[in-house]
Amino acid sequence: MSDGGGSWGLATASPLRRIAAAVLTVAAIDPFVPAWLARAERSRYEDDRVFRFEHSDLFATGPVVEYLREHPRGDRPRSVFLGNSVVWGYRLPPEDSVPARFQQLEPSVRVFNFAVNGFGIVSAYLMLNAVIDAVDTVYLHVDGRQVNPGLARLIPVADEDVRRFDLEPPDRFEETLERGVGVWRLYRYSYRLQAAWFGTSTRNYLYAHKSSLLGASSGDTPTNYAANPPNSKGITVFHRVAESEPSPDRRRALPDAEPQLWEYASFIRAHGKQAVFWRIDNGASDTSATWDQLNRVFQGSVAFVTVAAPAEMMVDERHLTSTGSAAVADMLHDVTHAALTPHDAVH
Amino acid sequence: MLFTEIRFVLLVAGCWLSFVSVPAARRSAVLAAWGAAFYLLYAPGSAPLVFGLIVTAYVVPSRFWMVPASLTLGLLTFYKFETRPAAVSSLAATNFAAESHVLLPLGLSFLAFELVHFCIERKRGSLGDVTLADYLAYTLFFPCRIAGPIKRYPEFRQAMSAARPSAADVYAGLMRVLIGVGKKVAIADVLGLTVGEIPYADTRAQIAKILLAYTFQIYLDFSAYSDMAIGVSRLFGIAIPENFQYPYASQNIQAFWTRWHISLSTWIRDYVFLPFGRWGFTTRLRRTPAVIAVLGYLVAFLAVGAWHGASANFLLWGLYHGALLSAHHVFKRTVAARLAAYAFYDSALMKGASVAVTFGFVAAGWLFFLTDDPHQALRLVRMMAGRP
Repeated sequence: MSDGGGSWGLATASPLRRIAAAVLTVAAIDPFVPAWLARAERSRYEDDRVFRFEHSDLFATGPVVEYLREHPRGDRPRSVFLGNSVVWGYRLPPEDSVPARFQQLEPSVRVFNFAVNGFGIVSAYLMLNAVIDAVDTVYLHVDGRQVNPGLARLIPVADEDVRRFDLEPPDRFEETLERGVGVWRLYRYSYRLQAAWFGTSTRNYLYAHKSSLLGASSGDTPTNYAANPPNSKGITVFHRVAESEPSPDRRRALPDAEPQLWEYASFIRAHGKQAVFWRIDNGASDTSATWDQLNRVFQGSVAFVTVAAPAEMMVDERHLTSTGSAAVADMLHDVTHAALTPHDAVH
Repeated sequence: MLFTEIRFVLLVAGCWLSFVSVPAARRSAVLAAWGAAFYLLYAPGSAPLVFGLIVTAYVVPSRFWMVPASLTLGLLTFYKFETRPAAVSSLAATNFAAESHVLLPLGLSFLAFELVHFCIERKRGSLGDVTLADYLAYTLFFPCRIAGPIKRYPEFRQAMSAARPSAADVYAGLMRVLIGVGKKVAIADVLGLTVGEIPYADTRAQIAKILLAYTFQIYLDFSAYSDMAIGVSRLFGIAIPENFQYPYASQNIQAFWTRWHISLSTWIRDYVFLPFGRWGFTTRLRRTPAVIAVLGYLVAFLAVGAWHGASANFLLWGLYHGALLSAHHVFKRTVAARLAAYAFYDSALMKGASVAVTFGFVAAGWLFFLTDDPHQALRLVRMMAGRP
């Protein structure tokens, strides 16, 4: 193996020098990485641009959670929207999703759209659990109880929750090794840099922008953009607080009636945060007694709201048009101020 | 990706340091030990089975070579049936069955063919004296356990004994690994996102776009794994044969199969196609050699299809390529033989057209890989033909 080139097709002149040059280059770049990261993350997470996971891809969940845990206080109070494709904004441009509409109504708050397609409330809870100390107000769309089994490999999840929700356990051994290699900052922050620069993985970014990168016109026609016909009807909001405290028996039964919502609402209240739990039920004609009582028990901390949207505001039986999203954002804004006041987070 | 996990990097580093610090005579033992460590670290569940197969193939006397060879192929068949994947996105993923409770032992597809090769060649007496350490180093050589290439014992032993790892090897190896990682991450995986649009494709243009993306994804993905395996081997100064040689630039389907997954196609040629041909010439078929060739191609490529997985799609894909090679065999001896007299047949234009036609046929064949459901594959074919 005296000749390293030739059939291998690689130049081999002074390989030792080349290796040394590569190592030195990497070492010279490394001290600048934290500053690049800080600038990119500040722009991504604190500025005004709409935040949502591009393509509903899970890649950026870990980096944004890590950022929020490292920066529990931002420039502005923070609101996170949790849920599935309804909240993410299926078939809507980012600026027309419910959280983005809410951001327009509340510019003094930094809104994070943490929704991912197919996320149920358990996934949402795990996301919330990871960032609870860094957020002020939570908007949870109640739709489906499923959990993404791979979540514990992306964000910090307590071992007990890994067992409880039957998640794929994170690879602790690899994680330990990665921490050891973490002195190499370019390696340690590679995911966070990608998420901050592109809002997603480089791979996803290249895919999403391939037309413009290949020189085609960047006027990407949103072929699947949901039609948004004008309509005169609004959504119907069902939000009622039971007039009296539930009886002791009923109070004991409430956690059984809505075990997950009870647990999540208690968790939010215990952390001194506020939340709106909302669901879409287009067949609803009145509030549910259970939700009325939950409103009573969690009064001032968590509001439970049901909305019914007219057919013109729905893309299909589940997803909202941009007008529907605007109406829901409006409702959430009103509920936040009406039911959760006094409130320090939302001004 | 296993090649970029830190534990794998540490495994390679540990193996490399031991490899260069022991006398040359001990190097095969070092490779064997680290290969065993690789299995214990990554697939402890399948390690006993893998070690058992390896030991069986060694200890059974060569005159009974059929016993370990059948056992190996039987187990491979069993696992291929049990682990029919729900979706195939990558040839390299043939090691990892998705959505199945039975896991294909890590690297079994590649190991099985190496063991059968070993059994046959030892019986033929072409291996000479085989030491246990050399044999274990060959069978447990972990850079090639993930996605091939399928090695040959004599070449590997020769490469191992000639290994003098130098800075040039380390540099060239690292560059080759980097090229592989870049090909996979920056190109193949991005193309994979376009391929992921398949459930929403409902026009011919969309399917054509996805098929084109898949055609390059599957090549870049698989050849990237080969690059990484060859690169890691190169760190040790061990030359592993190339597995791909610009296959999409082939001028005919026969040339394609000498440039695509070369280690598999040459294995199939040596242990299925040629033995079948030799057997064919002992039968009445010897008067019609073209029939022997056609049947040989069909049988060989049915085996190639089955190696990828025991589902109808892979078998159909294998038959498709068998049929293409058969057609080429006949074409070469009839039409092409006459055309060869004309100057234009050797022109650059004609060569370009041949490359384009070959590429078209190969790309069309990937339709069978795009989905694991034959009905779905047929739906795609119908849609491509304009009859939805």
